[in-house]
Amino acid sequence: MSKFICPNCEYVYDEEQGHPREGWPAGTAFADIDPDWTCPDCGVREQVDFLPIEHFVRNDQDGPIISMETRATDQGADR
Amino acid sequence: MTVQATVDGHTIEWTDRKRYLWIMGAIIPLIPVSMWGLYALTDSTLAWYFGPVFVFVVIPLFDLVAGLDPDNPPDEVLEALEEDRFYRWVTYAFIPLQIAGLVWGAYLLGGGTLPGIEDPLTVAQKIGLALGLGMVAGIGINTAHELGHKKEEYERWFARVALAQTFYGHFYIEHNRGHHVRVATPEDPASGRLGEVVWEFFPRTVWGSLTSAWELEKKRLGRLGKKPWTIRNDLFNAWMFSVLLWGALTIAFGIEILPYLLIQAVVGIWLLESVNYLEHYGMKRQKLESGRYERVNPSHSWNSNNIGTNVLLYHLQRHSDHHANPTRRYQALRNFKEAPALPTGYAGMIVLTWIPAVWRKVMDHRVLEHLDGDLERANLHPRVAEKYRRRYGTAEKVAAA
Repeated sequence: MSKFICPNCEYVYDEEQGHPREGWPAGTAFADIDPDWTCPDCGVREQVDFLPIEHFVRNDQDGPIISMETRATDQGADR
Repeated sequence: MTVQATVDGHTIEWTDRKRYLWIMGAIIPLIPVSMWGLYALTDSTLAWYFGPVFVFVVIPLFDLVAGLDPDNPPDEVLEALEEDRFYRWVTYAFIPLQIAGLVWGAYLLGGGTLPGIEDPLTVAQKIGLALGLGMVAGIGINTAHELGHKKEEYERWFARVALAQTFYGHFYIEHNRGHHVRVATPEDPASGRLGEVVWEFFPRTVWGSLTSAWELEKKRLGRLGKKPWTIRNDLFNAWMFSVLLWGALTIAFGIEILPYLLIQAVVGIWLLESVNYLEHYGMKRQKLESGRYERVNPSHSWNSNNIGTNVLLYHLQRHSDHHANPTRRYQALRNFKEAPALPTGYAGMIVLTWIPAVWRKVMDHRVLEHLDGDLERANLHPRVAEKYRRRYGTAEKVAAA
């Protein structure tokens, strides 16, 4: 059982627990979730945008925005 | 008061100059009560029309005089700033004051009298009071908006309570799961299109948002193997608060208050939807080869740093950051230098929407300049598309959408 994280707001989908309120019972594999299912917390990232939690470094909240103004390089937040 | 953060052994300090100004936002619900004092002093029916005067005259003038506040907290203190509980208590305090102001208003609408208000209000006075309650109702939707975006479940329930006054509980579903997903696309009912008149936007957004919220809940409940006709449907449990509130007020103060409750709800919804109209007016996200829309970025929202409206609306006008990071708390929202900016605050801009010719004169060239003159990159309203192409050229470019 793995965990997947929303790269924007850091909501974590835990396959073991699922998200019953959203219609994903405990044990629902992340791969079985609709690709257009939006993050239940921020709503601006979809299933396909989530990362396996072990690949996660930092959220993309500053991503393209701060890079526009204060950073020279993009943080790779765009898909 | 100073916020501190320690990064690599360095302590970074930042003082929030707006910290105590945010309390202004929480006392907005007392505006209708202030009419009591005004009326007792002047004995004039006009005193009951102070609500719209405050929102559409006092605030816009204040914005013009007080100027801009482009201050950003440094990145390093953002987390500490968000964790500071003071800021969320300011938003929570709004709600009991909102309910208290409404109860007070309903008492007068039901024919009640108070010291200084010796006779029951006349119809003209009651309409003014209802408009004032509607101003609070609309600003209450903004408070609900701030709370509804948060991860804490209790804050999402507070949002439903703040929406009870306007019977707009479905807003909290549609806004987070619908509007934020489709913002600045032709599919979003709550994004104003270039050339669309505000008066034709209202029915499109009110009906489109309602049906979209219904579809979202139907889909979610469908995954649970349930029909949408259940109290677990967030639309119904949010509307339940309105039934309770309106029901209790009607029982307490009489059926004759219902038309006025309706007026104040319509006014509140109209305020909210006016803001929806202007926040993304003309903006369009482009479609990528994958068929998805490009991710929303700062160029897709209209911002304003006018401090008056910003303090009243919990930084709603730092709208680019809000759409990039919807769960971020209001006190931590940042101004982006490159994001498109409106000529004045949202309150003053609403006044401009009333006369479509004036609105177009002020806004259309700003949209086009923002898009480097490329009309096809705008969210162009189909009704006026041909007219706009003739006027602004480049009809041969085919729209990406």
